[in-house]
Amino acid sequence: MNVAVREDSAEVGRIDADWVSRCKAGDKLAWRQLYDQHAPLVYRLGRRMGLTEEKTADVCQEVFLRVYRNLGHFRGDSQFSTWLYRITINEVSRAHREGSVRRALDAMLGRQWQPADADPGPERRAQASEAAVVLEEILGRMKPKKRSVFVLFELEELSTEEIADVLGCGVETVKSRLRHARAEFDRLHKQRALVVMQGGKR
Amino acid sequence: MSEPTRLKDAGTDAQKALLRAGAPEMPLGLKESVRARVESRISNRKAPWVLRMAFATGVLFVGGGAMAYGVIHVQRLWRAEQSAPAGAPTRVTRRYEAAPARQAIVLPPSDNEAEERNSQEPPKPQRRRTRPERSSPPLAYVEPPVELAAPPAPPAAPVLSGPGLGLHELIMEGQAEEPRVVQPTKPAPPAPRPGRFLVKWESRRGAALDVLDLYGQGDALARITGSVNRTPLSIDIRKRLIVGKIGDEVVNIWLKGEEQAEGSIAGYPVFFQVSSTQNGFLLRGTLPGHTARLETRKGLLRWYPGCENALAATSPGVYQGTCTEGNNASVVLPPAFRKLPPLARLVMLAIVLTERDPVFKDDKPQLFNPTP
Repeated sequence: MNVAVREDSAEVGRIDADWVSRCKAGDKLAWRQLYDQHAPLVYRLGRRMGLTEEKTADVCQEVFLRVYRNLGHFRGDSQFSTWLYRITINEVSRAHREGSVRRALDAMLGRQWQPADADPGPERRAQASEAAVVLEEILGRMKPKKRSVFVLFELEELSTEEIADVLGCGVETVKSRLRHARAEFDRLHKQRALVVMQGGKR
Repeated sequence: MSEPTRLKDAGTDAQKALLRAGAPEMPLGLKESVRARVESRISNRKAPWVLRMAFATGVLFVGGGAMAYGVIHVQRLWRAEQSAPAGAPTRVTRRYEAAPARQAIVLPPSDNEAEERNSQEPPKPQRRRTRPERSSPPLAYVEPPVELAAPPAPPAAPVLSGPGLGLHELIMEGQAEEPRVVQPTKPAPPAPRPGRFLVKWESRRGAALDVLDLYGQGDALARITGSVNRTPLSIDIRKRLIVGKIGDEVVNIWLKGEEQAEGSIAGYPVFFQVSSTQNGFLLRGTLPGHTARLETRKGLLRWYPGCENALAATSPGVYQGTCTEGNNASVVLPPAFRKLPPLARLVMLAIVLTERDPVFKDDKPQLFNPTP
């Protein structure tokens, strides 16, 4: 991360702090600006963590509701975005748990569960690049803990300290998980390439 | 330990290509719709759980208090009604409407009543409540009960007449409705004298029993004591039960409804069935040692075994005549006995009057002393 990026990050942090303080004072305009600024981040993270588009919209809603309700408890020790990441990761985990419970219930009732985004479909394929689709597929096969660390570090470009802050674990744990996550990513990537070369199903 | 380098910068070309792929972007309109949903939920924010709990607790207290107040109020009204002396003004009572002319016995006021009426205190001023009039017709506020204590003289009840029958006979035969005479509550009425229930035969057993009227004392109706053919008898008649002893044997009969009775006498099962006939009642049943049949009909009384020829009523409660065997017999039933319900009355008559003829000498049980 070069110096310019750090200065940008510090500038964004100051602006966020200003908006947060105005939100606490009851400024609705500041709240909207805060939302407009960070809603894409929440959506992007939700999608990269493997949620469907509908689920991501719900998570987005819940995240900003929690932000609004708990804004008074935000002390400003960390950046607002870090706090937002933590809330988003928690909500995504909750959504995943709900999904697993629903799948278990469907299995008990004998209904066939079909993931909503199992096949992105031609429209989605046309919108997204091939690389994005492949990345989404590989991420979808990773374990949740490794995936969250991988996404936060490699895609969201957070530092290990920030990831440790978001996930509530130590920096060494983050690095360890990252090492394992990279290995798994590499393995899945190679596995997929092999399958494509053999002309089999993805 | 230094910060690890990112695969985007230090990975293979394939990894770089993957990780540099475009990030998912929020679809058009989704941002606005989510924001609208969030803001609507913010504006319709639910009350915090503390407030909700406080509201629920308040509702609980108010509801419970109202219920407790209602219960206490009803109890107080009930006690006031119970403890009020007879004729005292009640707050709400039924409106006394003009009674239709009916056959009823109107007893002449006794001396005690007359004295009471003379010495009655002036009525207390009525406590009127400023409640709007009710729409339900049967309830209304009434004037102080002076009128209740001394109602206007009712039309003279028509005198019932029949071939040698009095009103009691008609009641017993089911032709006339048993009058319900409302008598004001008197403090400690004197103990009634028992009436005599007599059975006289020329050559067979006789009975002399005292019938004590116990109406109004719980569920007791009458107590019959005395002896039948020198066998002591003591039986209490209650609303649903006939209990007592004949000699040393226990009598326990359950009156099931108004038509059936069953139980045991001296350990033997007994059963009775009363049927209503055109002019009276017919009882059939089993007693220890024999079956019984007893019929009352339009001033006549007959029973089997014992007196298959009917005895005729010569005056209220007095039957006289000649039985099949040529023996003269008479039965006297006191008023306290005659006003018993038909089932209990006929069961007692069957117990006392019917008996297996002593000429049948076998080992069957005999209720009373068979020797004349």
